[in-house]
Amino acid sequence: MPDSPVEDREMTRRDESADAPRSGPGTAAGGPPAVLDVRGLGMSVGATAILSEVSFRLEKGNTLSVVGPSGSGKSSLLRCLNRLERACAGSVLLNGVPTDTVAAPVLRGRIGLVSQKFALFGHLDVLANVTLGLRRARRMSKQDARERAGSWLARVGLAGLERRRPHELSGGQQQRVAIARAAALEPEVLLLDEVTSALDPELVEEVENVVLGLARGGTSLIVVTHEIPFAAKVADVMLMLEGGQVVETGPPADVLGSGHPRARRFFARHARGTGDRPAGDRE
Amino acid sequence: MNAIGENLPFLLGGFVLTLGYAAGALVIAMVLGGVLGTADYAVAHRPVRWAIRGFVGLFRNTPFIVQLYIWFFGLPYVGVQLSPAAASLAGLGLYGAGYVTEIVRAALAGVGTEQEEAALSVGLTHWDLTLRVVWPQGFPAMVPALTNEAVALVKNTSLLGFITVTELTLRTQQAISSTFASLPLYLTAGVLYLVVNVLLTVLARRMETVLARRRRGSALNRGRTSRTETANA
Repeated sequence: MPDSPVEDREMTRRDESADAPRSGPGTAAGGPPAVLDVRGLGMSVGATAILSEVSFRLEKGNTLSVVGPSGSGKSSLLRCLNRLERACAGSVLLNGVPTDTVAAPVLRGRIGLVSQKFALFGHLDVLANVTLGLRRARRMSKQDARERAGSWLARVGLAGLERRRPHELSGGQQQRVAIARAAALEPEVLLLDEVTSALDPELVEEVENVVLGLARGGTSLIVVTHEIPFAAKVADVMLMLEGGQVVETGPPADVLGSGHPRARRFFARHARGTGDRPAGDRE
Repeated sequence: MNAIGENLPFLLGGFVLTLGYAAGALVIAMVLGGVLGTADYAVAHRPVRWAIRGFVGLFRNTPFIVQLYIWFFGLPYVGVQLSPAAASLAGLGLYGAGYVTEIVRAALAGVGTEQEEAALSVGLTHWDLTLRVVWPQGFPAMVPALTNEAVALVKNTSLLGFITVTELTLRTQQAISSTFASLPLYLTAGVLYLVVNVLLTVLARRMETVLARRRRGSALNRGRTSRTETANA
């Protein structure tokens, strides 16, 4: 018997995947519908390639975790997906529609991003932090926005803190507000960029539990993280980047046990606890 | 002392004019500078930004007295004759706007890319992020520099006498020419400038304190501030 709903969910997934043909990243048409289909994504700064020919598919309701050493292009990948970086080559299809045909503010409401540094709006209280996007981007009424924001704040365990200012919250609470702010827009894909890397170790778990809750709730997630055990636990599919290129991709167990020399070296370093994990790094 | 007493009503009349021109020019400078500074920060269209920077470069990098002469004595050469009052308001207002534009732009830019990207990430347009995220957080940083600008503007009214505006300094000089009591009369004018500028500074400090308290969200005003901001969200 699984000890927790998380394990239960993982087992269910594994059982399903054992019965069904694997539809890993890169699966072409004919597989389950992809909410996000990334093809040949590239990005350069001057002559330096940050991302090169990155392709993967994210199925609806699934979680993709992206791992790799610092500077491998993980954050840049997320920033390309919601167009915070403009100079990205290749194509991204969101539910079959090329994202470059969608206006950037609309796209960012459909592909949400939570960054590692929280970046809550310091002049607004917690509730207003969450309602701002709902009111301005989603054009929701004040009442509806407040109700949805309150519901998401409760879901991330922050009920009762609606009137607090960001600086009155712990780092973990601030990050949970940031997640609620993005998730309340109910985007088709939510991108989480090292959401635990700026937190004290004792606060990491509370945020990881929120992410697991989102994954359990059927939100399509892409999670960039240096926490390899968490990346394996939360994901249906794991993708390893190095030097802006996909080194390995597939179910977490397969990626972790990969024979690819660069993947083996990276995971061995992490297993020894010497993997680089600088707080606040950004590729 | 006698010279002061005899000329005080005359000087106070000039002081009222000084306050009027300063207030009018301050409104022009703040509104125009606020709009141009915000546009310089928010508008991606390069020609617009070049035009704004040209305006700032022109009005900030040339002496006020030269600008004032051009407004009053130069424009008639191209068929535009401004009254002393209009030339004074235009001259002081645009000169101040050059500085205010830069103050506003720098304060908005200082809010930082993290806040900008967080706002963009929740689907805000560039104007929404500018007006609802960046401006409220950038404004406290503007207040001290805008206060300096307001004080400088009040003192610059003393040059309006060059185009026949009988403000405080010109009236002081007129009073001196008939009494020869230069030191007491200049001291009197100085005290009047000092009073208005100290008042401006005190008001600005008070505003800084209120803004800082709001940012801290102290227990005292948390409820009121949150209600206001939530209502605006």
